[in-house]
Amino acid sequence: MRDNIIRYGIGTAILLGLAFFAFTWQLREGQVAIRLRLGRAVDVVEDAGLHGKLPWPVERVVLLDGRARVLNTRHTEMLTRDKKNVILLSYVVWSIQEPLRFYQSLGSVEAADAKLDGLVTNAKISVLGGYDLSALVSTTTDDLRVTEIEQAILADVATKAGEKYGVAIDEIGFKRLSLPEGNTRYVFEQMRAERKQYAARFRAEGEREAATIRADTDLEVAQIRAQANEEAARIRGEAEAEAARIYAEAHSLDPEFYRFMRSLESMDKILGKKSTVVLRTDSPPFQLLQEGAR
Amino acid sequence: MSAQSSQGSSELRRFGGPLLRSFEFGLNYLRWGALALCLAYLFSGLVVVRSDEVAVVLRFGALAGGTPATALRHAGMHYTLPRPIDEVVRVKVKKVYELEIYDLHYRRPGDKKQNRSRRKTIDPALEGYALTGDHNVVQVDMVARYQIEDPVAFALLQAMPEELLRDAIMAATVRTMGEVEVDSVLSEGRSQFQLTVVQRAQDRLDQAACGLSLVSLEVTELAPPRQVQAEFEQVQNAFIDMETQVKEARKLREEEVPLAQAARDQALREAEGYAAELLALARGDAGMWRDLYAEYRKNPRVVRERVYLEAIEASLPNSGRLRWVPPPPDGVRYEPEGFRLSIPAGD
Repeated sequence: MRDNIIRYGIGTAILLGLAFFAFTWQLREGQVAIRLRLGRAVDVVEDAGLHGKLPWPVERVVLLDGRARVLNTRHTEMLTRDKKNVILLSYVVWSIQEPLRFYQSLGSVEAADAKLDGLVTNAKISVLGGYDLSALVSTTTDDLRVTEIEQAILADVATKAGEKYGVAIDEIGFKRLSLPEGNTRYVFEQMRAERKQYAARFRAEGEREAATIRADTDLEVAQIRAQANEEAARIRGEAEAEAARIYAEAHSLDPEFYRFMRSLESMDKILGKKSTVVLRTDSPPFQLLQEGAR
Repeated sequence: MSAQSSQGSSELRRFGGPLLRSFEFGLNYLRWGALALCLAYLFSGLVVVRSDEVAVVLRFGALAGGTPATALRHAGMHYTLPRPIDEVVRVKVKKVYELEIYDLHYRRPGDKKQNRSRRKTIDPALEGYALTGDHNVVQVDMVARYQIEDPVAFALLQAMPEELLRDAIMAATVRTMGEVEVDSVLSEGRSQFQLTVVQRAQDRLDQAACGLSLVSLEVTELAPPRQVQAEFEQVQNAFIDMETQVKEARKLREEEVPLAQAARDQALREAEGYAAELLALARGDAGMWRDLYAEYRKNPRVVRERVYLEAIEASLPNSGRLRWVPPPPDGVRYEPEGFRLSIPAGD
């Protein structure tokens, strides 16, 4: 009896489980789905959760990835309004907006990528033809139109992708801006010329500034020397004047006696080994000799 | 269950006896096994969320409770219903991820030797670069660090969040580079450049509801391409030369001016020394003179004679020769008048 209860219990559970999997399906967050009855779309489901369906093979559910995807476009050369060749690589963020239209027109993510690439490339070529290269790269802020260009391409692609494929375009950005390989040669030439000019300018500037500093140095040194000479001469002059004053003050006590003393001093200085002195015999102190003889 | 197994046992035993015995033993314990399986199934809903992550609980695929807030489980132990009812998606929100962005550089992943071809041009399909506002080519290599800010958006609404992050940073880089001058971005403008790129990239990420937040962006390399590297280095050298020249001139100045000042100080000291000496001499002489004069005033004749004789004593022995002439007779003069020594008349 107890065995039977267990047996029936297990059987019922298995049946319920089978029915659950046959009659329900889950839509995960980020997914969208189309319910097909005998291959014909009957419902588009975008709310995540548990949903019901008739069991296979009557009904079948196609799950699509509704999350935002990123697409990178290929390298394509295009012309700006001022006839410059550029290669603009862009990324596109897109997601499925209308699952049914997407499923019917494209069916898969790969197909969508290919179609969107074409749409974006065409839009880029036509939009960029209306702008100069300076709208993309310029040191003048007023010339730059990057946001405007991105928005124009976004608007163009979004309209077409929405109408044709049920795809929403969330964002478009330029992830690389390159020049055709041949053009880089000229750019490099220009860069080299500019660098050489800078190098020459730095050299000249260095020489000029160094020369200025050297000239300033010479001037300053000369000024210091002149100042030193002037000051020293003044000190000496003042000292000599003072000395003269001291002498004069002392000598003025008795000019005659001074003259006498000074004459004696001079005599001592003038007479040397080579001088011959002629004296009168009555000059003192030699007059004593005469007087003594007398 | 045991009754059923004993009915067919006579036939079955003829085949592998020991094997069947163990099978029977197993059947006896099947109920316990079933119970254990049921318990294990129920307990499989027990989830431990680690401290560096959060978990998003999906019930039948939809956010549990209907909103991101109710579906999130933070660190700790949580009970969710077992599969296929609930699904737990773990997201490491505390972790800082790293992403190298080499698309605007010559380096390629897994290319240790660095892809340095000797071409005179750059094929944009092989090698990346960015254009500056003044139409110079520069190559830049960056490392982005980011965190998952919105686990629901990151885990469920974005198919390729890392690609989006890379592309948003590149777009911000290309855009910002297109506004600046090469000399600025290669030198003092680099940090400002980095800041602008981070801000623009984050704006783009937010606009796309990517769920990622950029923690930092490190520009690991930013240089002109190798084709023009030599010329850029020459400018660098010229700049260094300029600074060296100026530095040397300044150094010379710093040497010469103090030297001149020292010379000036010395000259002034010498002059002052001379002045002091001269004045000391003058004062000494004057003093001596006053002393002598005081003596003289007392006794002029004696002093005069003494001084005169002292002078004669001192100077005549030094002179070479002495000649004597007698005094001229009265009324006669020696012509021409020679050198005559006489004691000048006193007062």
